[in-house]
Amino acid sequence: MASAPPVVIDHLTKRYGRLTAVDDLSLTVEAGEIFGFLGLNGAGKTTTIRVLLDLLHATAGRAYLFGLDCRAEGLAARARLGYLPGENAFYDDMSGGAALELLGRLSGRAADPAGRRRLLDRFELSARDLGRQLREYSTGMKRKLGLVQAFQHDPPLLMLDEPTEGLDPIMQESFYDLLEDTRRRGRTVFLSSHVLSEVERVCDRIGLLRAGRLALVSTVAEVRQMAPRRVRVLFAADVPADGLAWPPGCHVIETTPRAWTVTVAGPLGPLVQGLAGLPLKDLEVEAPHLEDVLVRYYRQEAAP
Amino acid sequence: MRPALILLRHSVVRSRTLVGGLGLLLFVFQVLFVLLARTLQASNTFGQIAELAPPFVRELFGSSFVTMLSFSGIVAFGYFHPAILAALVGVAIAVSSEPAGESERRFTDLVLARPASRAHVMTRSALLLAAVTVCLVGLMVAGTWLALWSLGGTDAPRVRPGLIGSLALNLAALVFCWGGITLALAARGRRRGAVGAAAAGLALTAFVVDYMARVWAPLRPAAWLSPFHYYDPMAMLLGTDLPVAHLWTLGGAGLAGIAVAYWVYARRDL
Repeated sequence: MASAPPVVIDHLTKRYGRLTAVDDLSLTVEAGEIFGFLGLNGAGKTTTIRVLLDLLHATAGRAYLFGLDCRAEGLAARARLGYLPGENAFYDDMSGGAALELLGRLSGRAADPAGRRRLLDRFELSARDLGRQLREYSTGMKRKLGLVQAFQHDPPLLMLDEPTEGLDPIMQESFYDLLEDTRRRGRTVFLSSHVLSEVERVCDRIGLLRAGRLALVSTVAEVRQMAPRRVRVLFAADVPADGLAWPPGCHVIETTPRAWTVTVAGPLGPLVQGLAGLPLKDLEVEAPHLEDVLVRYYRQEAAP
Repeated sequence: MRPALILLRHSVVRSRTLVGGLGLLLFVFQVLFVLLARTLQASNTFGQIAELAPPFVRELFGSSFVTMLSFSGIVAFGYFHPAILAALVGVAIAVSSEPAGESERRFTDLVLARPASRAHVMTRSALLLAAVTVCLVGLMVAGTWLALWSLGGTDAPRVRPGLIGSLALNLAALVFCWGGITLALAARGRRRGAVGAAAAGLALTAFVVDYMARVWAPLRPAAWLSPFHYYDPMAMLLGTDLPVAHLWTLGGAGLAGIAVAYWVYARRDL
């Protein structure tokens, strides 16, 4: 059981009447990785997370945390979990400190006071802040408190729904540092996010949901390789682009007499060979971005 | 069980102002009722007040009118005054609708993402309902007895032993019953306001049905449906023993509501 993957989703389907929110989803998240769970609004990300937490009951299929059935052995499974919901779920008339105490006690694992203090310091939440009622908190402060409650008992698995929503850029950096530390300590993170640059920065692997179905599961590095690279070719003299035979995979964005901008899917070799003999001055190749691939997947979903 | 107790402590803290405030108010009311009964007794004005009432009111209440306008009747008035009944049932509805409020706020997500089960949430609510019922009715009884002991005076008539206890037990069962019914609704509901309004509407309808059935014969066959039918303080004032069947019926209905709540809450999507 100790070696079972932190998250296994096995042919999971969730229907609401005639609407299928999650359709035959199968997925495994390995120990120690940061897994990005992506998709447009309504793609089924939050529904999947809620099934893993046994807040929703699957129509078909099963889900396991550390080899424990989320439904039948939910208590034992959730004892190893830290969760940040997508929305603020605190009572406004509670103090931040009382909320952390209550949720800490419910976690069943003793929170290390020094560890909690470090988390609070990382997110710049003072003892005075914790004494204030949550109705006095800004959206960002509530988010930070949400992150502290999820991490405070140092769970082996963290499930974070849109973790940086409402955080300012400095706090986002603090969160990314925290994720790095978490990864170093071998913890697993299952993270749902809309922010593709964030996913690209912190995740090892991603899964993309489209209309409830898994459209893509891959490492970030592999997805990046799938992205067309933007290449800017600069010439020392005027070069007409008309009539040139572009190699397969090349797509012309813009041409001027001394500069061409193209995107290249696949290896750059054929383009470089095609440029031989031209008065080449410089070649600028932009690093491929995850966003270029994922937006294409998103557009396929959005298309009627 | 530990998560249920942790949640119970949290709920007690959250509801302490409402329950404590109302409990104190009821305690003071009971003291005032005893003081009033003592004053009326001392000035021997029960008869004069009875004469002030229009004849149709006397006819409507029958022999219980005279009983009500006695030392025991005034002392026990708080146990059947409609405003106090409404307040007690209202608090039972408020505390028992908490699961719906937690779903509405998504606080349930934070709780159930931990090693706490849905049964723990329901156990918390059932314990809270029982505690609030005992606390409120207990404070009423404490107010009554404390006032009788300290303010009643040696010349005041003795309140029949067991009357206050019987009224309190029956009243507590009624409050518990409405809490159980509300919990069944809250286990299904997503909005605390809607659950509270539905339970309050149901209670008001049941109260009206019971009241109408007492004065309008065609409605009498439906009276058994109302929980208020199983709370007859006038009969107890007139000397009837505590009807144990009524306690069983109200307690059973409350427990049935709680059982339904467990069943529904375990199966619903949150």
